[in-house]
Amino acid sequence: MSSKQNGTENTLPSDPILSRYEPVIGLEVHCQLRTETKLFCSCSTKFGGLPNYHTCPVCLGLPGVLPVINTKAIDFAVRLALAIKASIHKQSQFSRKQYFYPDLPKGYQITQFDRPYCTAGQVNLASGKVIRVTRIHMEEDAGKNVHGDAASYVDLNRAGIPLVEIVSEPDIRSADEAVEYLKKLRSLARYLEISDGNLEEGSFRCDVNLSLRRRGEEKFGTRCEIKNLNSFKNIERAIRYEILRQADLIDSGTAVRQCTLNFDPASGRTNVIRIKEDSQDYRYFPEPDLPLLQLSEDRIARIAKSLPELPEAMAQRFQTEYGLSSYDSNILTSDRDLATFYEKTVIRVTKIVAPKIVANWVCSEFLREVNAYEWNLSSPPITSEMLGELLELLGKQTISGKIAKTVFQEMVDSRGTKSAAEIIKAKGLVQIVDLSAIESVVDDILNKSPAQISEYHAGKEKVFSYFVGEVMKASKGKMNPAIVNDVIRKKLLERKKD
Amino acid sequence: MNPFDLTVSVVASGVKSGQFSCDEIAETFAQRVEKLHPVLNTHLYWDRSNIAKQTSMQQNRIAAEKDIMPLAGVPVVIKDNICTAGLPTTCASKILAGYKPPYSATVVDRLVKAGAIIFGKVNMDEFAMGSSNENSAFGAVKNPWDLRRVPGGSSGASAASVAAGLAPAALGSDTGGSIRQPASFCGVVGLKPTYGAVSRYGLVAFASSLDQIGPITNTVRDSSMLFDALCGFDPLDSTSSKTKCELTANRLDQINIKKIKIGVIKELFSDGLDPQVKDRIDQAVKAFENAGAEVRWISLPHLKYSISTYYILATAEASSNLARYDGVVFGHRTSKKTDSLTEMYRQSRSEGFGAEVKRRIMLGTFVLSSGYYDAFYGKAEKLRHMISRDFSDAFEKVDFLLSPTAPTTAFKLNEKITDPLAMYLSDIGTIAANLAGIPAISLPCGFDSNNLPIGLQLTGPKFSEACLLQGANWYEQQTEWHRKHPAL
Amino acid sequence: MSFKVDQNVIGHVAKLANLSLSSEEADALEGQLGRIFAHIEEITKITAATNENVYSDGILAAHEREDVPSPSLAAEIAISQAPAKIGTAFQVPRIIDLEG
Repeated sequence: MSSKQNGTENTLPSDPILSRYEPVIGLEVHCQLRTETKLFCSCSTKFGGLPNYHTCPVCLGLPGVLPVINTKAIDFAVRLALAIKASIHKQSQFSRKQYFYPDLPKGYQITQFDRPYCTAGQVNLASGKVIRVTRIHMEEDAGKNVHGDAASYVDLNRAGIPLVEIVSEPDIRSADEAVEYLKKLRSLARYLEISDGNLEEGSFRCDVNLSLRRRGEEKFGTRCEIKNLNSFKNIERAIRYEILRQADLIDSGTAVRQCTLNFDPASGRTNVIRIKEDSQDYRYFPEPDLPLLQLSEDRIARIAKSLPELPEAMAQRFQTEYGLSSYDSNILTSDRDLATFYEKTVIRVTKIVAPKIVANWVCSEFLREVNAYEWNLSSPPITSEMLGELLELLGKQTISGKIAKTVFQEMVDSRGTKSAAEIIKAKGLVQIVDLSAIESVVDDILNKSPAQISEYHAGKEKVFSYFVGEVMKASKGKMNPAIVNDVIRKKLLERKKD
Repeated sequence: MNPFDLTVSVVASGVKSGQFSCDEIAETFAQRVEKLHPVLNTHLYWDRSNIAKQTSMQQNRIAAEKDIMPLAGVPVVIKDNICTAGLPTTCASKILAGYKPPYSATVVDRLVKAGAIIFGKVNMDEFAMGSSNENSAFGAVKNPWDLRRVPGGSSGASAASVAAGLAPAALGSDTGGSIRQPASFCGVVGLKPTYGAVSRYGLVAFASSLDQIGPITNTVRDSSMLFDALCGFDPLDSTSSKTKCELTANRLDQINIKKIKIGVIKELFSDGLDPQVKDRIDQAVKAFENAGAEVRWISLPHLKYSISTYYILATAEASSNLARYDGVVFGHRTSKKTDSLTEMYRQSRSEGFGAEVKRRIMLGTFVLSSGYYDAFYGKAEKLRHMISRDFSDAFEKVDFLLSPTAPTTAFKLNEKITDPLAMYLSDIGTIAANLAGIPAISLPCGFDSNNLPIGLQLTGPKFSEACLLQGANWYEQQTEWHRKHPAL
Repeated sequence: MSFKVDQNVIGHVAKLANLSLSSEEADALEGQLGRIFAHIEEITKITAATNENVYSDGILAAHEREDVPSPSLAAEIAISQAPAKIGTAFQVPRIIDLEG
């Protein structure tokens, strides 16, 4: 095991449970590949639609049908393997995993078992810790069962959609690490344009394997598997709860039994659904309907060449090219759409606004609204063009920074239907840079404030901000603060001479 | 018209030249079906109006398209495990009673494109599991040569139909001999092509790595014509070969028998071989030898393990292929009230499958189950490889191998039904070709003292159908066996 | 390896295969499968003389299909062969949990 594996061991948590037990977590992620057609037939993968509208003899599992693999799905799977620097095997094999369930029309799932196409990859966390990826394999998704009161119903639209399953080593030690790892993986999938990584819609699903071991011990404890977690929040909650559940069991002298659990978001608890003794015998054997999957070096090289810039490289570039901090760079590159948004805005305001200023705006103002309104970053109501226009007006000193924030808020409130220029025009928010107008207001204020002037001249420098505040108040914040500052300083000096 | 004069080649050329109409041909054979089906129990689906539609469609094509209709007007009976869109496809199983697939097998599309008439769906051993056609949910099929005997299996009705003149050709499927053994028992020609030569799309799977569709006909030339129409890459079957199939019919006579080297499979001349069968095979060997072919003994050292290997691999795959019969998307569901999904599954499957199918599902499930996989399935995979290697070694020395197709002639109905192992052991002559994925053909080479046909099997390397058919055709030309037909 | 086909084995395998066997069927299978295994067991005793990759002469590389959609079946046809359905969905007894 690598020494980097346990990045948290030197900082023992203050939590009484975590000070005694160390969580050992491995994750299995199922990620739907965004191909046009299913893995083994030419049915559309479109989401939604009435039950069984996207089915054919192959994905219905009718007698006599045969699978034919989707070349794009293989390319997508290889992209992911390359992105996590994994070994890609020139020969791999599909197998049948056999169990009876209504959403599995053939009575087996075509998957990869003992000869997956990809092994030994890695995902790097921000701390520098490496989470090892054991393997990635390709497989077909199952359909959906819907449960009624008297009966259940089966919809096979999803049956046969291509998936990759990404299995990590048990290198993860906390809920936070688990979520960071998952976000990194999802971000990669989006950068690679192989998946939309949507947890709620089930295109990115996670099972958690968790055990506890006493601090200082080498041996892993008995692990339990939590299935079907559909949001990062729930993954985090499920892990935190499961740590407590297992710790309670061990503390009370009860052995943890190997089992499968689900997480109930309403109660925040994990519930046992199956204990290990009942676990199924899947009777895997090589899929006779599919010859070996052959991946030539040429093909792998061609796919490698076509890979887009990945988040780590992009963050590095943001630091050197735009002079951003590593913190901002990591935030901006954590999502491909966000990074694209940022770079488009930077280009929009080239030579007018510094990339660093753009980064501040995107990371604070923009992201705050993204989170508050759960905007879809691929099509936010405030586009990069709109933010760029606002920042350009700021950069040209048409408006002040303070006004810019007000205008931005107006843009948000209008759900992007009003542009910055429109708002500024309608509300008369254009910044006043006219020197004589500013001088006249400053004179007015100073004339009304003899006492404060005396204090200032007596050495109370703090009073300066009082004058600024009064001037800005009088001008409804529209006067350029830098000019206002200069004028006040100049006028006060004149009055001292008087 | 005498149906036996109407071979595939006679029908096709006659229909194209206008000597016969599609309707006339169909009528001749339809009368035969309607007279003899009640005796032989061949047909599971038979509908004159459907045939009338087809003959009119094919007749209309002839003027413009006869060049691409090598099988113009040829009635072909289809084994009922081959899907026909909108027409019942039952695999002779209760679990598929009434099932009508929404699509046709690639072979069916190819036959229709070549001008053939789909001449009903015919009986078989349930899910192609059996060597006697007694394992049909819809009753056993009788051998046209002796109605007290089995026609062989699993393509029993395909062979019986051709032997009895109900159609000039049939499609069968062969997983361990299911085309060749019934062809042998019924005195007709049956070809199992190279694995991958003919698309399996639409063939209801028994054992996917072994199944192959092939023709059954009265003459080698007819089989050759059907093979030419069926073979070739199918993008819907990942295991179908992209190697372009060599057409066989146009050079069937181009053989110089003096340059041919033939190996006789030593292991298939052992204790279980019926002396009368052995005698006829010896005569066939002599015929080749006398004509100047080089004949030698060939030993296939791992052949003796082929039955065990086969029954492990085939049942393992079958247990998996038959998991989809769960009463959800199609097929039989129990009418009994069931409290749970599992109960529904178990009840439906138990009602729907027959005894032999259940036996093989059990065997196959066992050999794949936790703790037994390596000892059985894993070992069988290795042995399959070794058996295959035995053949490739042999084909370094000879052009094709010669053997009896089956160790005996047709046995009596109910004779072996209670002893599945004995039934399995009788497949020794045919199974190895499926394990090795190589082509083999069975053709008549005489009769025993009960006037039951005896089959000669020729086996060649992968994609050697052209050569194999030439050898078979040469032998057929030297003999009159294919001109003998059962008196019915 | 040596083992005996008994009613435990039959019961376990029947459960895996989702078959419910009558006691007559189970009895008959015990004898039949016992005899079949006594025969096929021969191969478990062979030391496979080959360590060759049994896949190496795998004739074919998987044929790959372009990612271009083609029309699906009409849903009415997709469900036309189903023993029970509601709307265009397949209907099954309510799934509570899987018993093995």
